[in-house]
Amino acid sequence: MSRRTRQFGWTMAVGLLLTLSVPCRADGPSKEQLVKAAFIYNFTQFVDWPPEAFDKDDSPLIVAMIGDDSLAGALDKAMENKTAGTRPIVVKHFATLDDLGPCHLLFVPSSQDSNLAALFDKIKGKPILTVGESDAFMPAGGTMHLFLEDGKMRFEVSSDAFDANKLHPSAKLMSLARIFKKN
Amino acid sequence: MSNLNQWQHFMKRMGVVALGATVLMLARFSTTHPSAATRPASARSPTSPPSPAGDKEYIADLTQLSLQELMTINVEAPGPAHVAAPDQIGGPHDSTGGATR
Repeated sequence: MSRRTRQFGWTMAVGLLLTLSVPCRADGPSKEQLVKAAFIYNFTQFVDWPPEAFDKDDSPLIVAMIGDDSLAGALDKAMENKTAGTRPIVVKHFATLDDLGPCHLLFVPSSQDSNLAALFDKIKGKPILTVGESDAFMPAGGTMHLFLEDGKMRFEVSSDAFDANKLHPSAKLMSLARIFKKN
Repeated sequence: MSNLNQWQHFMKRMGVVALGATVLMLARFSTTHPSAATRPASARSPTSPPSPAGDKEYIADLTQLSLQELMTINVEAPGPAHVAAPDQIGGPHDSTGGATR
């Protein structure tokens, strides 16, 4: 066998191995997670927080999530170098309810369903926009709920929860939302 | 045919197979990383050409989309996120929207 043929074979074999090892999109956040994160980013643009929610005029808007990090990668990516008005957006992750620190928007994954009562008790009356993904979230006191309908992301909002937390959603946000009514 | 020639033939064939697989993988990779030219109107630069009416497009950075556009994405469909063209956006939850308040 000629050296040239052997070199060609090895080069192609190594090239194939390298190509197969290149991570494609499937290795990152799922499409659903990316869409959810984009919705959450949009929510920061369509909700006004009261001035007392911030220490200073240039304090960041803190987007947080609690519990498992299923959305973490997508959320970090979505909020990278983003602002809400003039405020930079900062993402924080809290492992448990006990670790929960100051934040303005809190994403609550469905894994926290068993802690919902304690969570809403802890943040009661604070200007925190809570966004959840489970059916139990809104009845427990959540403000916004992301859900799938025919494969497309939809959201519902609680006007009562907005009022209770002194948050002001824009008319445009409300016009696109499904309104949650507590029975 | 000698063992040497058989091995040489095998290596050549492997090379062709590897080259074909590499091209296929690169083609697959490129479809998951859309160029700016395929982005929807809201994410496109003002100098980019408009898309044909009714065309469905995809975009890498979903935060550039409005809520209205995000609501058109089927997250259960395989492949990258497709966004309906502006004239196809409608329905009870899509009566308004846009990136600005």
